[in-house]
Amino acid sequence: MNHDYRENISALMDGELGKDELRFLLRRLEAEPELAKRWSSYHVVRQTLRRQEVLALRSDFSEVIFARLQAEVLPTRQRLPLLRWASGGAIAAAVAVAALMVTQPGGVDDGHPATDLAANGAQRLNAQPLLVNAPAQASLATATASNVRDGALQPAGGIPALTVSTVSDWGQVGAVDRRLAPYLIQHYQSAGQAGPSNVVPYVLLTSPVNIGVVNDAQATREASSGDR
Amino acid sequence: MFTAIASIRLDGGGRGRSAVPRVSSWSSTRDPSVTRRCLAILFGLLATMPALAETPAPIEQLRQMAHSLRALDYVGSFVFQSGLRVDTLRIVHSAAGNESERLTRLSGPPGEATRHGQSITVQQHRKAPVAFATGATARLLPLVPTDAAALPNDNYRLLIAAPDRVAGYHTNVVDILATDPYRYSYRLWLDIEHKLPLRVAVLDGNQSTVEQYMFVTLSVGSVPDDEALEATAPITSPDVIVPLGGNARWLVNDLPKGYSLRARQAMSTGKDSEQLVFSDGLASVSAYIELTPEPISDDVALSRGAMNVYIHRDSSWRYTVLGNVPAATVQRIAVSISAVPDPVVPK
Repeated sequence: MNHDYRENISALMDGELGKDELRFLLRRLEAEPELAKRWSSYHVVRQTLRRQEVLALRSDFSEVIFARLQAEVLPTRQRLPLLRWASGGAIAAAVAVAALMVTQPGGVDDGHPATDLAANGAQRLNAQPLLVNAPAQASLATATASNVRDGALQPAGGIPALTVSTVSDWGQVGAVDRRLAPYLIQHYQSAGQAGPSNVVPYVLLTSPVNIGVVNDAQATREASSGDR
Repeated sequence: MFTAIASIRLDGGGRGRSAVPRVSSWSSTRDPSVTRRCLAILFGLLATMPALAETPAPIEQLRQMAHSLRALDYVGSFVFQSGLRVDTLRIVHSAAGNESERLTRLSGPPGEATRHGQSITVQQHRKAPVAFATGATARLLPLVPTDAAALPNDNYRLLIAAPDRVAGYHTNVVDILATDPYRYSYRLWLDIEHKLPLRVAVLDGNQSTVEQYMFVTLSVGSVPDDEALEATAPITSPDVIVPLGGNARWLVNDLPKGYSLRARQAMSTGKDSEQLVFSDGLASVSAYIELTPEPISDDVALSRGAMNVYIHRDSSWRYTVLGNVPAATVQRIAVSISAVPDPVVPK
């Protein structure tokens, strides 16, 4: 991987990449899994350092951004450097907004068997998703009433962080959550016999079991080791 | 503090004295303003001493809290925040008979949990109710064991924080501080009269709140009528978990300090499946061990508020570990589960 691309990825994260360069980089991201992985890793590391949540996007995220870029009216005169810089921020903001537009949490329906939780996770991990995140996303995510963006916990004391999402289909996340219900019920039942289990343990059971953030611990480890 | 009261000052030495700076005692100071200040601070300290003396020790307050949760009638509404999700709920508790209580969601889809004695029925919107039996100490607002002295001192420290007000009540604040990153800390706001937990916050290693509830209204002593405690759905006979006998088949080789195995249970997903329950006296963790029908390649971690889940696969076995503990705890347990080696048969 070329060093320039790393710099371009970094510039894109900071909202400082020009439109043409953005177009080019998005195409490269789509075509080169290694570059996409690097892009994901940068975000993972940054979000982990900032102890922020990581949002996941559908695999067609870049197409959506392309569509928005195509629809945008090009300026007819040279802009001032300050405006050029501001347009970079606008693109980053558009990325954040698009992230929220294209990612919809899956609903929870009834009647699915409580089996094969991990196999479902394997399907998700094979989907080659694209990760994007920005500070603006975190604040917007807070404002939306979603069950899938709860804050991940970051214990202190040198414990490895687990805040990576590689979800490409929120519907599958819903399926994972559904299948957790029997585990939770049995946990609270047996934990109640063994001792206290939580502050208000049964609240989770009175609502659909949407375990919000789906993390891929393996990806976290890879990202951490790859960026050391 | 007493350093300030004593008003230590460096004296450069007067005429005919040594030039070596010396520390003068507070009684020898000639400055009347300093003396007045010292007296004011002293009186202030004396004034607060009775209040300090009246505040029971944290362990005693927790014991009273556990008793009040069991022995008082109360009706209240509270806000519950888990991660970024916020719900409002109402709880009705009757101490009569075997104790009954009902927890009802007031926001979002309807849902409720009712407890009559040791039988708990949980119902989600448009779903069949789930009933299960639990232990004698299980409550809808449990938090600490009935015997608070059972809290392991090595893993938690109990402290008194500054008093506060919640739902119009004056409260004492008790901190249960975790001593390592494998468990959460807790802050409890206990009303001074009854020691009911009017607000409880679960804190991570950064002292950030990951989950909390806070009463906004509370009426203590009003006896709830039967209708208020009646489950919406008909109550079915509760499922009973079958404890496993025989020798342990699984080991956790890297169990975080303070946790110990409390139970081994059967699971409905297969005769080879097994649930291990660990607890440190305050937090509980379940490890589910099952044969996996399809291979998975990577570990998966999930979280919601204080609840963390970690799924790990080894060979044809899948380990699902979950509990209201930090992510590091469920991960450490999940990846260190292994089968007990077959005993060596002497030839």
